Amino acid sequence: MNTGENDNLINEILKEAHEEIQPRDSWEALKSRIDKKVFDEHRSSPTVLRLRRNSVFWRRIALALAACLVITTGLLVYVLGDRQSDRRNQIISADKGFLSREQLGQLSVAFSHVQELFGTACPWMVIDSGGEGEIGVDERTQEAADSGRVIIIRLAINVEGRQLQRRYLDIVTLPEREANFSITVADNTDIGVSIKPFITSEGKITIVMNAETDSVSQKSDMVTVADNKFTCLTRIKSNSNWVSIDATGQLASNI
Amino acid sequence: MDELKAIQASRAGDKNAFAGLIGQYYKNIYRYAYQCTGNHQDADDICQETFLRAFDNIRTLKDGKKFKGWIFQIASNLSRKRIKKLKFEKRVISLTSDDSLPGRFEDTNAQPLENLSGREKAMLVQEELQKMPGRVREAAILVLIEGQTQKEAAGILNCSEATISRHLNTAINLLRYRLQNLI
Repeated sequence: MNTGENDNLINEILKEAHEEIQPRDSWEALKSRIDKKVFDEHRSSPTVLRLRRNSVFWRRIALALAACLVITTGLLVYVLGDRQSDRRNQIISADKGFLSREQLGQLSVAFSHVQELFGTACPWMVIDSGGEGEIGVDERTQEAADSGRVIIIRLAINVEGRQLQRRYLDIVTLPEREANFSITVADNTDIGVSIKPFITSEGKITIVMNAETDSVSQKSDMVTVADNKFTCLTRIKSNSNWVSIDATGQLASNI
Repeated sequence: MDELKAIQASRAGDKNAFAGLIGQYYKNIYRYAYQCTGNHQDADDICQETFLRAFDNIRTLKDGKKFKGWIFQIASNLSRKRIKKLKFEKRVISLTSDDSLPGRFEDTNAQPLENLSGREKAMLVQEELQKMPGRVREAAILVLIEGQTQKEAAGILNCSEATISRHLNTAINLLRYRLQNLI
Protein backbone atom coordinates (compact mmCIF):
# COMPACT_ATOMS: atom_id res chain seq x y z
CA MET A 1 0.00 0.00 0.00
CA ASN A 2 1.48 3.40 -0.93
CA THR A 3 1.43 6.56 1.22
CA GLY A 4 -1.61 8.08 -0.53
CA GLU A 5 -3.68 4.98 0.04
CA ASN A 6 -2.45 4.81 3.61
CA ASP A 7 -3.53 8.41 4.23
CA ASN A 8 -6.94 7.74 2.76
CA LEU A 9 -7.27 4.74 5.01
CA ILE A 10 -6.20 6.78 8.02
CA ASN A 11 -8.79 9.41 7.12
CA GLU A 12 -11.47 6.75 6.85
CA ILE A 13 -10.45 5.22 10.17
CA LEU A 14 -10.51 8.64 11.79
CA LYS A 15 -13.99 9.38 10.49
CA GLU A 16 -15.24 5.93 11.35
CA ALA A 17 -13.81 6.22 14.85
CA HIS A 18 -15.27 9.70 15.18
CA GLU A 19 -18.71 8.45 14.20
CA GLU A 20 -18.47 5.86 16.94
CA ILE A 21 -18.31 8.49 19.64
CA GLN A 22 -21.63 8.91 21.36
CA PRO A 23 -22.89 9.93 24.78
CA ARG A 24 -23.09 7.40 27.56
CA ASP A 25 -26.89 7.35 27.45
CA SER A 26 -28.17 8.42 24.02
CA TRP A 27 -28.20 11.28 21.53
CA GLU A 28 -31.84 12.02 22.35
CA ALA A 29 -31.04 12.31 26.03
CA LEU A 30 -28.20 14.71 25.26
CA LYS A 31 -30.43 16.78 22.95
CA SER A 32 -33.07 17.08 25.63
CA ARG A 33 -30.42 18.12 28.17
CA ILE A 34 -29.18 20.82 25.81
CA ASP A 35 -32.73 22.02 25.07
CA LYS A 36 -33.51 22.12 28.75
CA LYS A 37 -30.39 24.10 29.52
CA VAL A 38 -30.82 26.57 26.65
CA PHE A 39 -34.58 27.06 26.74
CA ASP A 40 -35.19 26.62 30.43
CA GLU A 41 -38.39 28.48 31.34
CA HIS A 42 -36.80 29.87 34.47
CA ARG A 43 -33.72 31.07 32.70
CA SER A 44 -33.64 34.74 31.85
CA SER A 45 -33.73 35.69 28.18
CA PRO A 46 -30.46 36.71 26.48
CA THR A 47 -31.59 40.35 26.51
CA VAL A 48 -32.25 40.23 30.24
CA LEU A 49 -28.93 38.47 30.77
CA ARG A 50 -27.17 41.15 28.74
CA LEU A 51 -28.88 43.88 30.71
CA ARG A 52 -27.99 42.11 33.92
CA ARG A 53 -24.36 41.82 32.80
CA ASN A 54 -24.42 45.53 31.97
CA SER A 55 -25.88 46.39 35.31
CA VAL A 56 -23.27 44.20 37.03
CA PHE A 57 -20.57 46.04 35.08
CA TRP A 58 -21.90 49.46 36.06
CA ARG A 59 -22.39 48.32 39.63
CA ARG A 60 -18.73 47.27 39.72
CA ILE A 61 -17.67 50.60 38.27
CA ALA A 62 -19.80 52.42 40.85
CA LEU A 63 -18.27 50.34 43.63
CA ALA A 64 -14.76 51.07 42.36
CA LEU A 65 -15.53 54.80 42.21
CA ALA A 66 -17.06 54.71 45.68
CA ALA A 67 -13.94 52.96 46.97
CA CYS A 68 -11.75 55.63 45.35
CA LEU A 69 -13.93 58.34 46.88
CA VAL A 70 -13.69 56.78 50.34
CA ILE A 71 -9.91 56.49 50.06
CA THR A 72 -9.58 60.08 48.82
CA THR A 73 -11.85 61.37 51.57
CA GLY A 74 -9.90 59.37 54.11
CA LEU A 75 -6.62 60.85 52.92
CA LEU A 76 -8.12 64.34 52.89
CA VAL A 77 -9.44 63.93 56.43
CA TYR A 78 -6.06 62.61 57.52
CA VAL A 79 -4.19 65.53 55.95
CA LEU A 80 -6.62 68.13 57.29
CA GLY A 81 -6.60 66.49 60.70
CA ASP A 82 -2.84 66.56 60.68
CA ARG A 83 -2.78 70.22 59.82
CA GLN A 84 -5.38 71.06 62.43
CA SER A 85 -3.39 69.09 64.92
CA ASP A 86 -0.32 71.11 63.94
CA ARG A 87 -2.30 74.30 64.39
CA ARG A 88 -3.65 73.09 67.71
CA ASN A 89 -0.13 72.26 68.83
CA GLN A 90 0.93 75.67 67.70
CA ILE A 91 -1.84 77.37 69.67
CA ILE A 92 -1.22 75.24 72.73
CA SER A 93 2.49 75.89 72.66
CA ALA A 94 1.86 79.54 71.89
CA ASP A 95 -0.19 79.77 75.04
CA LYS A 96 2.57 78.04 76.90
CA GLY A 97 5.16 80.27 75.31
CA PHE A 98 4.31 83.55 76.98
CA LEU A 99 6.89 85.07 79.23
CA SER A 100 6.12 84.48 82.86
CA ARG A 101 6.46 87.22 85.41
CA GLU A 102 9.42 85.37 86.87
CA GLN A 103 11.16 85.14 83.49
CA LEU A 104 10.57 88.82 82.85
CA GLY A 105 12.13 89.62 86.19
CA GLN A 106 15.17 87.43 85.53
CA LEU A 107 15.68 88.90 82.07
CA SER A 108 15.46 92.47 83.40
CA VAL A 109 18.00 91.76 86.11
CA ALA A 110 20.35 90.08 83.62
CA PHE A 111 20.02 93.00 81.20
CA SER A 112 20.79 95.54 83.92
CA HIS A 113 24.11 93.71 84.50
CA VAL A 114 24.81 93.77 80.76
CA GLN A 115 24.07 97.49 80.61
CA GLU A 116 26.56 98.03 83.42
CA LEU A 117 29.19 96.12 81.41
CA PHE A 118 28.76 98.29 78.33
CA GLY A 119 28.51 101.63 80.09
CA THR A 120 26.89 104.24 77.90
CA ALA A 121 26.59 101.99 74.82
CA CYS A 122 23.25 100.44 73.90
CA PRO A 123 23.49 96.69 74.32
CA TRP A 124 21.01 93.99 73.44
CA MET A 125 20.75 90.46 74.70
CA VAL A 126 19.32 87.30 73.17
CA ILE A 127 18.66 84.10 75.07
CA ASP A 128 17.68 80.95 73.20
CA SER A 129 15.28 78.49 74.82
CA GLY A 130 18.03 75.93 74.21
CA GLY A 131 20.09 77.83 76.78
CA GLU A 132 22.49 79.66 74.46
CA GLY A 133 22.80 83.40 74.68
CA GLU A 134 24.25 86.25 72.68
CA ILE A 135 25.05 89.82 73.59
CA GLY A 136 25.63 92.69 71.19
CA VAL A 137 25.75 96.43 70.96
CA ASP A 138 24.04 98.86 68.64
CA GLU A 139 26.91 101.18 67.88
CA ARG A 140 24.85 104.12 66.72
CA THR A 141 25.40 107.03 69.04
CA GLN A 142 22.10 108.77 68.43
CA GLU A 143 20.08 108.85 71.62
CA ALA A 144 16.78 107.03 71.47
CA ALA A 145 13.61 108.71 72.67
CA ASP A 146 12.84 106.08 75.28
CA SER A 147 16.31 104.88 76.04
CA GLY A 148 15.43 104.44 79.66
CA ARG A 149 12.81 101.80 78.98
CA VAL A 150 13.66 98.17 78.37
CA ILE A 151 11.72 96.04 75.89
CA ILE A 152 11.51 92.27 76.19
CA ILE A 153 10.45 90.44 73.06
CA ARG A 154 9.85 86.73 72.84
CA LEU A 155 10.23 85.30 69.36
CA ALA A 156 8.63 81.97 68.49
CA ILE A 157 10.50 80.27 65.63
CA ASN A 158 8.23 77.75 63.93
CA VAL A 159 9.69 75.33 61.40
CA GLU A 160 6.66 74.22 59.40
CA GLY A 161 6.36 70.72 58.00
CA ARG A 162 4.81 67.37 58.83
CA GLN A 163 5.69 68.07 62.45
CA LEU A 164 5.80 71.60 63.68
CA GLN A 165 9.00 72.42 65.51
CA ARG A 166 9.03 75.45 67.74
CA ARG A 167 11.60 77.18 69.85
CA TYR A 168 11.76 80.52 71.60
CA LEU A 169 14.21 83.37 71.72
CA ASP A 170 14.03 86.13 74.30
CA ILE A 171 15.42 89.45 73.17
CA VAL A 172 16.05 92.19 75.66
CA THR A 173 16.87 95.52 74.12
CA LEU A 174 16.22 99.21 74.19
CA PRO A 175 13.68 100.98 71.97
CA GLU A 176 14.79 101.97 68.44
CA ARG A 177 17.97 99.93 68.79
CA GLU A 178 18.70 97.19 66.37
CA ALA A 179 19.67 93.71 67.52
CA ASN A 180 21.44 91.49 64.97
CA PHE A 181 21.88 87.81 65.59
CA SER A 182 21.46 84.47 63.84
CA ILE A 183 19.27 81.47 64.43
CA THR A 184 20.16 77.94 63.36
CA VAL A 185 17.08 75.99 62.31
CA ALA A 186 16.55 72.22 62.11
CA ASP A 187 18.31 71.64 58.78
CA ASN A 188 21.40 73.51 60.02
CA THR A 189 20.55 76.61 58.03
CA ASP A 190 21.39 79.93 59.59
CA ILE A 191 18.80 82.65 59.43
CA GLY A 192 20.17 86.10 60.07
CA VAL A 193 17.72 88.22 62.05
CA SER A 194 17.74 91.95 62.49
CA ILE A 195 15.07 93.25 64.84
CA LYS A 196 14.25 96.80 65.84
CA PRO A 197 11.45 97.56 68.35
CA PHE A 198 9.64 100.84 68.89
CA ILE A 199 7.26 102.07 71.54
CA THR A 200 4.15 103.76 70.16
CA SER A 201 2.47 106.79 71.72
CA GLU A 202 -0.15 104.38 73.16
CA GLY A 203 2.60 102.48 74.90
CA LYS A 204 2.42 99.50 72.55
CA ILE A 205 5.40 97.75 71.00
CA THR A 206 5.92 97.69 67.25
CA ILE A 207 8.66 95.75 65.55
CA VAL A 208 10.44 95.94 62.23
CA MET A 209 12.25 92.79 61.37
CA ASN A 210 14.50 91.57 58.59
CA ALA A 211 15.22 87.89 58.18
CA GLU A 212 17.58 86.46 55.61
CA THR A 213 19.07 83.17 54.55
CA ASP A 214 21.85 82.67 51.95
CA SER A 215 19.35 83.03 49.16
CA VAL A 216 16.33 84.91 50.48
CA SER A 217 15.77 88.11 52.37
CA GLN A 218 12.43 88.92 53.92
CA LYS A 219 11.66 92.26 55.54
CA SER A 220 8.52 92.70 57.63
CA ASP A 221 6.41 95.83 57.82
CA MET A 222 6.07 97.57 61.12
CA VAL A 223 4.01 95.11 63.16
CA THR A 224 2.40 95.90 66.48
CA VAL A 225 2.74 92.96 68.85
CA ALA A 226 0.64 92.18 71.90
CA ASP A 227 1.80 90.89 75.23
CA ASN A 228 -0.86 88.18 75.46
CA LYS A 229 -0.62 86.55 72.05
CA PHE A 230 1.94 85.83 69.37
CA THR A 231 1.77 87.86 66.19
CA CYS A 232 3.37 86.70 62.98
CA LEU A 233 6.23 88.96 61.88
CA THR A 234 7.40 87.13 58.79
CA ARG A 235 7.72 83.80 56.99
CA ILE A 236 10.85 82.78 55.17
CA LYS A 237 11.76 79.74 53.10
CA SER A 238 14.74 77.88 54.48
CA ASN A 239 15.77 75.05 52.15
CA SER A 240 12.70 72.82 51.94
CA ASN A 241 10.92 74.22 55.01
CA TRP A 242 9.02 77.36 55.73
CA VAL A 243 10.05 79.13 58.91
CA SER A 244 7.60 81.53 60.48
CA ILE A 245 8.68 83.99 63.11
CA ASP A 246 6.05 85.17 65.62
CA ALA A 247 6.53 87.63 68.42
CA THR A 248 5.04 88.84 71.65
CA GLY A 249 6.49 91.82 73.52
CA GLN A 250 6.38 93.65 76.82
CA LEU A 251 7.99 96.62 78.44
CA ALA A 252 10.18 95.82 81.38
CA SER A 253 8.70 98.80 83.19
CA ASN A 254 5.35 97.01 83.21
CA ILE A 255 6.68 94.37 85.58
CA MET B 1 -35.64 25.60 7.50
CA ASP B 2 -32.61 26.88 5.62
CA GLU B 3 -29.62 27.32 7.97
CA LEU B 4 -29.13 31.01 7.19
CA LYS B 5 -32.82 31.73 7.78
CA ALA B 6 -32.69 29.72 11.01
CA ILE B 7 -29.72 31.82 12.14
CA GLN B 8 -31.57 35.05 11.28
CA ALA B 9 -34.64 33.85 13.17
CA SER B 10 -32.50 32.78 16.14
CA ARG B 11 -31.00 36.23 16.23
CA ALA B 12 -34.52 37.58 16.54
CA GLY B 13 -35.07 35.25 19.52
CA ASP B 14 -36.88 32.37 17.75
CA LYS B 15 -36.31 29.37 20.01
CA ASN B 16 -37.61 26.83 17.49
CA ALA B 17 -35.15 28.03 14.89
CA PHE B 18 -32.30 27.72 17.35
CA ALA B 19 -33.50 24.26 18.36
CA GLY B 20 -33.11 23.32 14.69
CA LEU B 21 -29.53 24.56 14.73
CA ILE B 22 -28.84 22.56 17.87
CA GLY B 23 -30.20 19.46 16.15
CA GLN B 24 -27.90 20.07 13.23
CA TYR B 25 -24.68 20.50 15.17
CA TYR B 26 -24.93 18.95 18.61
CA LYS B 27 -23.44 15.61 17.56
CA ASN B 28 -20.45 17.26 15.92
CA ILE B 29 -19.88 19.47 18.93
CA TYR B 30 -20.20 16.56 21.34
CA ARG B 31 -17.72 14.45 19.36
CA TYR B 32 -15.32 17.34 19.01
CA ALA B 33 -15.46 18.05 22.75
CA TYR B 34 -14.95 14.39 23.49
CA GLN B 35 -11.94 14.20 21.17
CA CYS B 36 -10.48 17.24 22.92
CA THR B 37 -11.09 16.16 26.50
CA GLY B 38 -11.29 12.37 26.19
CA ASN B 39 -14.07 12.41 28.75
CA HIS B 40 -17.83 11.92 28.29
CA GLN B 41 -18.90 14.00 31.27
CA ASP B 42 -16.78 16.95 30.16
CA ALA B 43 -17.93 16.54 26.55
CA ASP B 44 -21.56 16.60 27.75
CA ASP B 45 -21.02 19.75 29.82
CA ILE B 46 -19.07 21.49 27.05
CA CYS B 47 -21.76 20.64 24.49
CA GLN B 48 -24.54 22.10 26.66
CA GLU B 49 -22.51 25.17 27.56
CA THR B 50 -21.57 25.76 23.91
CA PHE B 51 -25.20 25.99 22.78
CA LEU B 52 -26.15 28.04 25.79
CA ARG B 53 -23.45 30.60 24.99
CA ALA B 54 -24.29 30.50 21.32
CA PHE B 55 -27.94 31.25 22.06
CA ASP B 56 -27.05 34.09 24.43
CA ASN B 57 -24.61 35.67 21.99
CA ILE B 58 -25.99 34.87 18.56
CA ARG B 59 -26.79 38.58 18.07
CA THR B 60 -23.05 39.25 17.99
CA LEU B 61 -22.56 36.91 15.03
CA LYS B 62 -22.49 39.26 12.05
CA ASP B 63 -22.11 36.76 9.23
CA GLY B 64 -24.56 33.84 9.38
CA LYS B 65 -22.37 31.83 7.00
CA LYS B 66 -19.74 31.59 9.71
CA PHE B 67 -22.06 29.96 12.23
CA LYS B 68 -20.39 26.55 12.08
CA GLY B 69 -16.91 28.00 12.61
CA TRP B 70 -18.23 30.26 15.35
CA ILE B 71 -19.90 27.49 17.31
CA PHE B 72 -16.79 25.30 17.00
CA GLN B 73 -14.75 28.22 18.25
CA ILE B 74 -16.94 28.42 21.35
CA ALA B 75 -16.57 24.66 21.87
CA SER B 76 -12.81 24.89 21.30
CA ASN B 77 -12.42 27.67 23.87
CA LEU B 78 -14.53 25.81 26.41
CA SER B 79 -12.58 22.60 25.80
CA ARG B 80 -9.29 24.36 26.27
CA LYS B 81 -10.53 25.91 29.51
CA ARG B 82 -11.70 22.54 30.72
CA ILE B 83 -8.37 20.89 29.88
CA LYS B 84 -6.54 23.63 31.73
CA LYS B 85 -8.78 23.06 34.73
CA LEU B 86 -8.23 19.34 34.54
CA LYS B 87 -4.49 19.82 34.40
CA PHE B 88 -4.74 22.17 37.33
CA GLU B 89 -6.62 19.59 39.32
CA LYS B 90 -3.99 17.06 38.26
CA ARG B 91 -6.73 14.79 37.07
CA VAL B 92 -5.31 12.26 34.71
CA ILE B 93 -7.56 11.34 31.83
CA SER B 94 -7.39 7.64 31.52
CA LEU B 95 -9.03 5.57 28.86
CA THR B 96 -9.20 2.70 31.29
CA SER B 97 -11.61 4.58 33.54
CA ASP B 98 -15.35 3.93 33.49
CA ASP B 99 -15.83 7.19 31.71
CA SER B 100 -13.93 6.19 28.61
CA LEU B 101 -15.16 4.09 25.75
CA PRO B 102 -16.02 0.60 26.95
CA GLY B 103 -14.21 -2.61 26.10
CA ARG B 104 -10.68 -1.38 25.75
CA PHE B 105 -8.81 -3.14 23.01
CA GLU B 106 -6.22 -5.32 24.70
CA ASP B 107 -3.77 -6.19 21.96
CA THR B 108 -3.74 -3.58 19.22
CA ASN B 109 -0.49 -4.76 17.68
CA ALA B 110 -1.75 -8.23 17.14
CA GLN B 111 -4.68 -7.62 14.79
CA PRO B 112 -4.98 -5.50 11.66
CA LEU B 113 -7.51 -2.67 11.81
CA GLU B 114 -10.01 -4.29 9.45
CA ASN B 115 -10.49 -7.04 12.02
CA LEU B 116 -11.42 -4.58 14.75
CA SER B 117 -14.94 -3.46 15.54
CA GLY B 118 -15.93 0.18 15.13
CA ARG B 119 -15.74 0.75 18.88
CA GLU B 120 -12.30 -0.77 19.10
CA LYS B 121 -11.06 1.36 16.23
CA ALA B 122 -12.58 4.43 17.85
CA MET B 123 -10.83 3.64 21.07
CA LEU B 124 -7.52 3.06 19.36
CA VAL B 125 -7.74 6.27 17.33
CA GLN B 126 -8.88 8.17 20.39
CA GLU B 127 -5.88 6.84 22.23
CA GLU B 128 -3.54 8.02 19.48
CA LEU B 129 -5.22 11.41 19.27
CA GLN B 130 -4.90 11.89 23.01
CA LYS B 131 -1.16 11.35 22.73
CA MET B 132 -0.87 14.31 20.35
CA PRO B 133 -0.23 17.89 21.49
CA GLY B 134 -3.53 19.77 22.02
CA ARG B 135 -3.31 22.13 19.05
CA VAL B 136 -2.25 19.35 16.67
CA ARG B 137 -5.15 17.20 17.84
CA GLU B 138 -7.67 20.04 17.43
CA ALA B 139 -6.42 20.86 13.92
CA ALA B 140 -6.67 17.19 12.94
CA ILE B 141 -10.21 16.86 14.28
CA LEU B 142 -11.44 20.03 12.63
CA VAL B 143 -9.93 19.42 9.20
CA LEU B 144 -9.64 15.65 8.83
CA ILE B 145 -12.82 14.69 10.65
CA GLU B 146 -15.16 17.69 10.69
CA GLY B 147 -14.26 18.65 7.15
CA GLN B 148 -13.48 22.29 7.93
CA THR B 149 -11.12 24.02 5.53
CA GLN B 150 -7.69 24.99 6.81
CA LYS B 151 -8.76 28.62 6.69
CA GLU B 152 -11.84 27.93 8.81
CA ALA B 153 -9.77 25.87 11.26
CA ALA B 154 -7.28 28.73 11.47
CA GLY B 155 -10.17 31.07 12.36
CA ILE B 156 -11.50 28.69 15.01
CA LEU B 157 -8.12 28.06 16.62
CA ASN B 158 -7.05 31.67 16.21
CA CYS B 159 -3.83 30.97 14.34
CA SER B 160 -2.51 31.21 10.79
CA GLU B 161 -3.27 28.79 7.96
CA ALA B 162 0.42 27.91 7.81
CA THR B 163 0.29 26.83 11.44
CA ILE B 164 -2.77 24.66 10.75
CA SER B 165 -0.98 23.12 7.77
CA ARG B 166 2.05 22.36 9.96
CA HIS B 167 -0.16 20.85 12.67
CA LEU B 168 -1.93 18.69 10.09
CA ASN B 169 1.33 17.35 8.71
CA THR B 170 2.44 16.51 12.22
CA ALA B 171 -0.87 14.79 12.98
CA ILE B 172 -0.82 12.73 9.78
CA ASN B 173 2.79 11.72 10.27
CA LEU B 174 2.10 10.68 13.85
CA LEU B 175 -0.95 8.66 12.81
CA ARG B 176 0.96 7.10 9.92
CA TYR B 177 3.75 6.11 12.26
CA ARG B 178 1.54 4.77 15.00
CA LEU B 179 -0.99 2.98 12.87
CA GLN B 180 1.43 1.66 10.22
CA ASN B 181 1.62 -1.78 11.76
CA LEU B 182 -2.13 -2.10 11.71
CA ILE B 183 -2.98 -1.11 8.14
